Amino acid sequence: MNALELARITKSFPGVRALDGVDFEVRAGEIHALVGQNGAGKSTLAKVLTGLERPDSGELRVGGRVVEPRDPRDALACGLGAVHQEVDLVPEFSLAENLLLGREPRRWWGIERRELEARARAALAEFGLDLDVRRPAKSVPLGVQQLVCIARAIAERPHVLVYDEPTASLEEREVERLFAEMRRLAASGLAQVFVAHSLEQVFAIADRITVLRDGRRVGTFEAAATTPHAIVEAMLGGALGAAPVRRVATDAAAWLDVRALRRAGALEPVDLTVARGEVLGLVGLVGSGRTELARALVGANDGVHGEWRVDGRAVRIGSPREAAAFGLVLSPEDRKVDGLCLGLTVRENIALGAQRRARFALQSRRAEAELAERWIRALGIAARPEQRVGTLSGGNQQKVILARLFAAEPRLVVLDEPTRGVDVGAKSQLEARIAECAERGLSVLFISSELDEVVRRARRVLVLRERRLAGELVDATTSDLRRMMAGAEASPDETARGRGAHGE
Amino acid sequence: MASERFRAKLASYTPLFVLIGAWLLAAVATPHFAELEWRDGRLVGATFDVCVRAVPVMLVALGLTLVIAGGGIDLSVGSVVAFAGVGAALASGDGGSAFAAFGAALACGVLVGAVNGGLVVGLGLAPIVATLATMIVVRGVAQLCAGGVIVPIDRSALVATLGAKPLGLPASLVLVAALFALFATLKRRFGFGLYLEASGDNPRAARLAGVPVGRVLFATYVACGGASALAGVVAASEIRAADAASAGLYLELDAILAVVIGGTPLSGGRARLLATLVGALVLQILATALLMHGLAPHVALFVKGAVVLLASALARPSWGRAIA
Repeated sequence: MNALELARITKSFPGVRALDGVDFEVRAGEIHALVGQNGAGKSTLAKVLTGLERPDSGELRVGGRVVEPRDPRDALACGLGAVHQEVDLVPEFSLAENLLLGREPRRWWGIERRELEARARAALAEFGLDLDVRRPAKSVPLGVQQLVCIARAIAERPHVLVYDEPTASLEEREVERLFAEMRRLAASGLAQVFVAHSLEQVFAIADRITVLRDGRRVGTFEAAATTPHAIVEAMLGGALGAAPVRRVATDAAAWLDVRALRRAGALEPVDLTVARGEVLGLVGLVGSGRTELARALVGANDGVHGEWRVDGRAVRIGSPREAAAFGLVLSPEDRKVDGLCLGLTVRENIALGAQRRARFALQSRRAEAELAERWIRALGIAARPEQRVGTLSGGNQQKVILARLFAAEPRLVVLDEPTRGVDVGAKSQLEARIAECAERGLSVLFISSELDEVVRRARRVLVLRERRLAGELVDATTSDLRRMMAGAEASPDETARGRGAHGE
Repeated sequence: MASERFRAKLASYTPLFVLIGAWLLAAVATPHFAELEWRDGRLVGATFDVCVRAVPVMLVALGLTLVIAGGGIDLSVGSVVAFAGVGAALASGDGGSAFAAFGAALACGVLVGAVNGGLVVGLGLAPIVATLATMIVVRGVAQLCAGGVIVPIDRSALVATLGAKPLGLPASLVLVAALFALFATLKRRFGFGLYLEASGDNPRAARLAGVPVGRVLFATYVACGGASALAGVVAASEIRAADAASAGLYLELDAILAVVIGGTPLSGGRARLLATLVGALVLQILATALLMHGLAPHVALFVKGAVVLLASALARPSWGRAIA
């Protein structure tokens, strides 16, 4: 019997039909992956399933019963649990309060703290987490916060659990732990829907795969009977253009030389140089200081010290504005919080990048619109210039940030996890665009958790570990990087290479 | 698809529809409200009266629109009106020029605006707390400067200047038009508008994108102080005296209402200057019509509250869609 059935679900937003008569069913005990390009409708479908959006038409059945979830709480009552892509904990609340939010054990005087904490500890322990549940949610790393979200969803015992890109901020080990948990839950009969970007993960975990394209269901495949290649073809509609794979390196002299970049308690002194047209990789586990380094480089954080030399000239960089004046711009890790003005339009967000160069000149809306149109075409952004950025899918939002960076005519773009939450098609477009820019002399600092992306793009890779530079590798493989990121078991051979490159 | 876009467009015109609706309602319900004639080289009639009387709120609300678009609020505007009025009165006494009066008033307003900006941007105080404090202090300072009396500005050059009627229009309306043109130009034709709306929408992202968020927000408080100072001069010249105790009292509330009716979200990120002027006119139509009806002031308060709720509800995108 099917645990979940969707019939002819349709949902429109201003300007787009996000879902167009989608049929979809999930069996009990099945892990069903939902894949598609950005804007294919995966996230909208996940939102319909979790009560965040109500479909315009169509029917939703859970265990054969027709349901119409009005909001996430109502969806839960209907047996539809959710784990979202973005961590949705209350940052100031303790882990225990977050875990049992809305279901706190109550007495006549209020919340029974001891029981709350005991239940929270039990819920986390079941998930293999041993944490002080009284800590505020914001005090634990993003990866751990996501795990807590998942523990919370599992604690609700839903009939169907919908994961909207749950692995986006998880480390490899944590992904494996999540998958083990998912398999255990599947064995107990829980139906699970897994919205994902990584096909590798999809094939590792899913029983069946449903592909969406342009709001329609293209097909549903048995994972064992298909190949990643076939799925990608279904996602792209047959046109599978392979991204040009090439590593970018250069013998040109370094134009940017940063010494002793540091911030007390967050980043130990790091030296780094970047050459013209170079793609420099930066890797490290969550919490290793890579985001800190990215932000420090463009003056985004207070309390950062270091010596910047641009073209051999010592400069002072105290704010992103000053950094931009020397051509250093950042695409931050958290798109929605740090990256974009979600309430403004695509045109306005892109124009923001070009604004600094023309600060006293008269602006015309037409010039801004032309700028926006040009970048929309160049990056293949699926949006109109006057569309609000908040209404775009994750991949298109990332492209808007890139457009804003490029509009500033930078010399170095620092990309912190630019491909997180971006689909396969857009990812290869982004990669190709980055390579193109490098050819034209733009330098790139490329930060990613996906090591194969890093080694494909960058010849020279910096590895951070526990807030300090662990080393620098040239022409490394992903396993080299992984070893260095983990520390301990780096072979003498590797260390020598790392040192050699560092001393260059 | 096109109709969706049309609806969104339509929703943004809600304040204008509310204005037309309010005027029609007032005209139908109130005898003589719609009458407008040219007498002795100037316009006479309730509609015209509404425009003139709305001037102080319009001036203040224009400045406040910028502050609110940046995600802030300024409660000190009413006190600035009083302070600037006293400044103008003192400077224009003993045959001082209108220029000196405006200069003194603007200096008062810009000073308070700079203090507000410093407290909010420099010290990081919550705007509502910082400007609540300056609201109280500035009224005290105004009364101190006035020496506890009402300062007359009769027979000064200021009254003559603001009493002038270029093209048959009162000078105060020209002042509103000029300030609107200045702010609108800053917003549309220079990067300031984009910087302001980005800062209000998401200050963290704006800062990373290279926007000088602090300077932009500081400028909005200074501009708001200046705009309120102009309102103070107009208010004082109307009654030919600067009353530090009661000038501009509760004006901040009317100005906030005007901004809200105009559809500028209090959460920041959008500045709707023209719609703010429309909002101020809606409020004044109500006040004038109710006055002409001879309604008791407490009844008038009920009507005003109801209209504000209705107008701000209509300005919500979802409602706009529901009625369109």
